[in-house]
Order: sequence, then structure tokens, then C-alpha cells
Amino acid sequence: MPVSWLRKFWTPWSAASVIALAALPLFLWNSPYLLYLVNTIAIFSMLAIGLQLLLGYGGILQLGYAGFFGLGAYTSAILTAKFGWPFPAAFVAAMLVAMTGAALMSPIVRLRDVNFAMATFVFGLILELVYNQWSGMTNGPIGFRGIPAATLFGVAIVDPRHYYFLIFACLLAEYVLVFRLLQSPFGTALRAMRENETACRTSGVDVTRLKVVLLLVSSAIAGAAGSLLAHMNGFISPPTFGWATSVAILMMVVLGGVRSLPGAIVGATIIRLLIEWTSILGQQSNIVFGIVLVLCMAFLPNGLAGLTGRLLARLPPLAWRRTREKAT
Amino acid sequence: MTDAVLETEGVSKRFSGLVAVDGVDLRVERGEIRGIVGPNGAGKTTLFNLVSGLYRVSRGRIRLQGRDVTTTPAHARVAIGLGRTYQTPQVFPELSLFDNVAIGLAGLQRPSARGAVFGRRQPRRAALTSVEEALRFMRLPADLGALAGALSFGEQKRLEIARALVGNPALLMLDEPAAGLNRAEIDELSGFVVEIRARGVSVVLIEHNMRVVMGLCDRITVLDFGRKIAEGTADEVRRDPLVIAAYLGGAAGARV
Repeated sequence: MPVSWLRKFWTPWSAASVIALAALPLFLWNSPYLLYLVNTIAIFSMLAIGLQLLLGYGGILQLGYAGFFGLGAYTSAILTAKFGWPFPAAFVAAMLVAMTGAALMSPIVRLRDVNFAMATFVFGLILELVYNQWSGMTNGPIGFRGIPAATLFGVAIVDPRHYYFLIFACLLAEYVLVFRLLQSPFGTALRAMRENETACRTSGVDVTRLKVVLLLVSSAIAGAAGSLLAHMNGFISPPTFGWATSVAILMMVVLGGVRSLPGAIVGATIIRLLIEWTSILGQQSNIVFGIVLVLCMAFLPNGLAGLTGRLLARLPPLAWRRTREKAT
Repeated sequence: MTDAVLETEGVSKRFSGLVAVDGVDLRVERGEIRGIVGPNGAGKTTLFNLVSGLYRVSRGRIRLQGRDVTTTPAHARVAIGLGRTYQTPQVFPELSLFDNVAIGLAGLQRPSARGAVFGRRQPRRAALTSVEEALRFMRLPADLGALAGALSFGEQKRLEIARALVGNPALLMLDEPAAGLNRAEIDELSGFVVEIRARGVSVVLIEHNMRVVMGLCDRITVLDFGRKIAEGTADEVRRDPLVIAAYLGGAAGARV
């Protein structure tokens, strides 16, 4: 019997995770640095889930994802700093502009595999070029300064502890949204498309439309994440939205497991921490990432989520897990 | 006036140098079971791919239920009333039986992202009745959660038919439905085809098993090197000298 998505969503694990994440700032109350790190991890978790939707569920390799992240960040920054828009309006506009960018890119969904991936890569490069070159709007390579703090109901959210709740709320909303999407007939069509695109088409699924919708949804997510980043940092510059970030997000998805939503968050956490810890190495940090990526591919083809699944399968089944399996 | 489910007019498909299908005219009446036979490489599956929209025709026109679908994409042809299967069953092995069949409803109930996220309706529940009916009709296990990959080869072929039938097509195209099945399964399959026709679905099938073709089909179309060389009832085709020469060969023709 089909079960309502809420009953699938609330497991003891997910409930414990939501409570733990909601309570996280209590433990980091006195460390602005750690809070800042946690906030960026949450933003990158949003991005990882957005990219995972494309790669893991749609089988689409999008290599220019950070470009859409940038579209959201610059849109939100320009609208608030130059035109005095309130944060909520700029936030929505950031999502819409990122979606518009995706709509412009959408004709390439007809390309296959590597060709599609290359086209997205180039699209990402073009966006980065725009951020660098359109100095009048973006202030070019110097970076965009003076982005006002996010305000909600007239209150400026300056404290990173408070900002955490804003990001966490967005991440949770995104998670639930994607979860529902995957549980629906739309999600079934996605999985079918990934398994056998031809059979999917001759069963009546408009595969092109599915891919375009996926691109739009994932870009809206990237736009939202970009807006959150811009207002948290108050400063943005083009390299943050370049190909290196696209690759980092891709690594988060691959490390966590391409088809596990919690895996994307775990992957985002690990990769973001690695970025932090290897930053003293400068350019050489790429060597560390290269090694991590190769090891992932070799030993964790399904990411950490796959590893966890294999380990769990060895344990005797728990009572609640047995009943849940029957329910689904 | 006309009550053809499927009409093709001079349909051709050229792959660079090779003409795989060459000016084929086909007319399948409502309620008909049509067999398509021909030696390997005669263009049978290419013709199926043209009709189902996986390939674009090089020349000619295709009409489905009286509507010109020559340039209609594959998924939209399903919505007009076309279902098909493949030589080797193309199921979704990692999806449940329910999901495998429910995909066949995608043309009627477009899976929308907006509806999925914000909708209150439960489209899965609505699909449940028709999915269960299709599984029961094809005598498949009622275990909706079982993975399709765990089914036997014969069951996967039936699952594919269930997926094609769930959307109530006007025309079902079966590409070698008997291939790889044992004798008992082949008899069962023939029974299915008759039952499917009784539901008001016209059937076009490609088949090498002559017992199946001759026993089931109202009319048979013979293809050779992409051209239609004969068409008619089993008896007419069997006696056609062109068919005997090109396809069955002199001695074999006498036996059939």
C-alpha cells in the first residue's frame, strides 16, 4: 500500500537528526568561527541535495552548478545593495533568476551524457566570466562588498546563531520538498528514466520535460543557497562560483552517495571540513581532493550511504525496520 | 469511414547508406491481430521503432487512430493510444512491480513536480486500482513492492505487457513476444493476446514462431529487405510464391 510521505519521512533517525541539528547552535554558542563553519556546511548541504537531484535521481551530470549558485548570490546582492530591495523579495528573485538561467540552458537537455556535461561545464564558465567582467553590476574580480544582512519582519539577522536558524529552516524545507518529490509519481518517473530512458519514453513519460523540470528545481535551490551565502558573508567574489566549487559540490554528492539525501549532507560536511583544513596548503589542497575523489570511486562506488547500507545489512533487522519495510 | 487504428503510408527509414525500411504501407483495422514476419534484418523492429516514435521517418506518414503522428514524440504517441514491448524485456529492474506498471499511466496522469510538492491528492492511490488490475490480468504476483529484477524472464515479458496495457491503449505492439519462452509459456501468451483483443485492443506482433503467428493473426504482413512483399491471411501468405522464395525457402514452405 502506498504510504503517506510523512510516515516515510519520520523515522527515529530522521527525528533525532532534526532535533540534533536544530539544537546545534546551543553547543556552539561561544564559537562564532565554528558557527560560521556550520552555516557554510548547511548552505553546501543545500547545494549538494540540489545537485544530487540531478545526478543521482535524474542521471544528469551538471558541471556548472556553482554558476547558478552565483546567479542567486549576485542577484540577491545587487537587488538589496543597489536597489534597496528587502531580503525576502531578493531571496525569491534569486531563485527566479537562477531558474531563468536554467531555462536558457534547457535546450541542451537533448544532448547526451558527455556532451551534456560539457555543455553545462561551459555554461558554468560563461557565468563565471560574467561575474568577472560585468564590473558595473558585479564589481568584477575585486568582489562585491557591502551586502546588507538579511532582514526578516524588519529585524536584521546579524548574529550567526540566528542566521543558522534561517539556513537550517531553508535546508529543512528543501529536504522535505525533495523528499516529497521523490516519493511522488514524478519521482518514480525519474527513477524509471535513470534505469531505462527508452522504455520510459515509450511508456508515455516526457523525458525531456522531466530533465528540464529537474534543471529548474535544482537551479532554484542553488539560487536560494547563493542568496543565503551573500547575506551571511556580506561579500562575494567570482571564484566562489567557479568550476572548482562545482567540482567540490560534485564531490560532496559522490562521497555521500548519489542517491541518499542524508548522504548529501554528510558528504557536504566532510568536504567542507576538508576544504577548511587544507586551506593552508593553498593550491596544493587540490591534490588532497583528487586523492579523496579517486579513493571514493575505487572503494565507495555508492558513497558513504552505500557503505552504511552494507554495514546495516549485516546487522540483525531491528523491529521497527521490519515493520517499515512491510509498510512500503 | 475508415476505422484503422494504425496507418503507415510509404514509410521509409534510411541509416546513412542502408535503407532499413523502404516505403511500407500498413493498415491495421480496429480489433485486428496483425503479424509481421520476415527474415532477420528485414526491418521489422525498425518499423516498430518508427511507429512508436523512437526513430523519425525519413519519408512517409504515420497515422494513429486517424491522427497524423509522423512528427509526434514517442511519449505523446502513448497518450494517443499506443503501447509497445521489446524483444528483450525492458523493465525497470530496481523499481517495484507497482512502479513499473504505474509508469504506464504517465501519459494520462502527467507526473508534475508542482503537484508532487504542493498537491494534496494522492495520485498513487488513484493509480492503485488500475495497476492491480493490469497485474492480475497478466497473472503476475500481487506483491506490489517486489522488485521487477527478481522476476523470471517470462514474468518480465508479462510485466512489460502489463505496463503497456495499464493506460488502455488502442494498439499494442509486441516485438517477438514468444522469444525465449517455453512451450507452455507460449501457449499462455497466445491466450493473453486473444484476451487483450477481447478488451478492444488491436495487436501488432513481430514473431518468428510460425505456430504462434499462423494460429493467432487475422492477417500477416511479410517484410524482406525493408519492403513489404506480401500481405494477407495465414493461408494466402503461406501460398505466396514470393514469400516462399524469399523467406521460407522452397522446402520449408511445403512443410508449413
